[in-house]
Amino acid sequence: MGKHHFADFSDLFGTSPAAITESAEQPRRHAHALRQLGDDLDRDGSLVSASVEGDIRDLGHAPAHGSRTAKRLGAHGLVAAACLERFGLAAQHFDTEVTRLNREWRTIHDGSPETPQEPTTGAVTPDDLERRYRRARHRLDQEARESARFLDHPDSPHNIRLLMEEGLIPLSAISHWPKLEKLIADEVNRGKITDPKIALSIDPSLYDAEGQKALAHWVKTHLDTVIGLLEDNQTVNLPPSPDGYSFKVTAVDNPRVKIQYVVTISKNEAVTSMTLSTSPGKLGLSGTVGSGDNSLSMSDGGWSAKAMVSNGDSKFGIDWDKDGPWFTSEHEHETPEGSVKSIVKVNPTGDDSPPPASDPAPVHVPNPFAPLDQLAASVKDGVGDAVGAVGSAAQQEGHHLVDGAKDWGAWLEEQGKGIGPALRDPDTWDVPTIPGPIPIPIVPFA
Amino acid sequence: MAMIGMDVDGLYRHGERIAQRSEHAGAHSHGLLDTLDSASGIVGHPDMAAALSRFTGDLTDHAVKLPGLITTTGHGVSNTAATGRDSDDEGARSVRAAADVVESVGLGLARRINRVEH
Repeated sequence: MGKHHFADFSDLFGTSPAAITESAEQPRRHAHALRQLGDDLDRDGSLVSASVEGDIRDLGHAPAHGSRTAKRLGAHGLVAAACLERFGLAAQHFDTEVTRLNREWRTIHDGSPETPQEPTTGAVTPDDLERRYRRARHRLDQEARESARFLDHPDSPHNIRLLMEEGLIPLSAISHWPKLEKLIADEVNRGKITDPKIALSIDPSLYDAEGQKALAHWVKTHLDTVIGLLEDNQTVNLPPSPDGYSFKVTAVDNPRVKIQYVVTISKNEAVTSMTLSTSPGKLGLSGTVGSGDNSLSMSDGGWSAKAMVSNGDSKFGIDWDKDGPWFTSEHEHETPEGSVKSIVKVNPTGDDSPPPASDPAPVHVPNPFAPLDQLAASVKDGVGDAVGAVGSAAQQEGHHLVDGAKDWGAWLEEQGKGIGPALRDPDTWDVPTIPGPIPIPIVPFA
Repeated sequence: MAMIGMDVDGLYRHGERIAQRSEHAGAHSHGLLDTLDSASGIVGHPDMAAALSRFTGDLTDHAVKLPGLITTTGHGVSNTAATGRDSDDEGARSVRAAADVVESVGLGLARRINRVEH
């Protein structure tokens, strides 16, 4: 037997726990590469689809078979690597226990394990140590059988979930096991969230109302954790709000502001993006919805909105900023000297302050109208209805968005208190105070 | 976009790129098998060693076929582009032939009409 009484892992199996743990590294590297290959093939399929029209559009599905195979191999490789690592840890625990037992054995036998004498303590007997050794060996065999069972059923959602909860399979792999995603969603829906980090990593559309409510509650009470989980360019989808707005948060590493969080809000396919900045000593918020002639933007200093309708060479609409609404008429016509563009801006609130700058310089007409509805009714030749509708819609949407932004900002401010003094005081805010890297996948936005 | 409904050059390039991924696929799928095979020799415990061997055996077929599958897919896409190009050229030739016939008949008609007018 050698220098100790109880056989350690190496004595029993001719290999070391460290060697087993190390043997997981290469399969895991290949598994990740295969999963990445699957993603690359999916992208290739999209490019192929974009290159063809009509009846041959299905050609874009051609790489799907290879993608599925690569992802499946990758997912199975991750399971194998996780099992190896798991068993390596079990072997390490076994050796730790054996080392302890051998030390106690030497103590009992006065430093001579090969020539047992009478025990020097009444509390622990050699029989006790033998019993503990048999238990340790039994646990090791159990771990071996459990890992073997995982290997025999690499697609079992329960097994994979356990490996994920033990941190042996990255959360980002969830999307490669649709059954697992569904299983976790079911558990969230039943109010059995065992690990919110996992719950956050799956497609929110899989949750029912109860599940969304449960997750929303968790997110609201653990926002600091959610933000802390995010690494550069990582995204989490937050549960939708009760009125149907969906949120996702992406961390963007920007050296100037340390880290920004881009919050994307959508409802009924209308998408807007908001930037949550931590740099000015508070939670700053800015964002834009829409683009060009139909856009609404907000920032710390206020907000502005623009909604226009075109009618041939003319455009009519409303242009808002923090100083109030400006009704705008743009007209372009040809003259012997060339094309001439005229812009008229009218502030319907009676505010005579200068209008927003534009190019060419707008003609500022003193406000001839008082209330908003009077102005809409006064706009000439049938365009009034259109402008009125746009104005009304823009006003309504503007109010909704501004209210929403205020609510969201207030909520974030409130939650920000939970992030800690570091976040509220930029001088003490430091990136390393964020919890260590925990992989969160980029989940396709539903 | 050509008349046949495809960006022939783009499609060909995408197909070639897919086919080129087969080498990468082969390196990692065989790498996965080899390293798992090695691990089954390292792991020591008979239950784990046996399970790893079964596991690797179950993966082998898919892992071995993956590079070929990707090559076939890529070449299939490229060939579709080439076929599209050929069809386009063939169509152009048919149209040219028909145009030549029409032109020839047109010339003949013109001559006869000229003679009548004279």
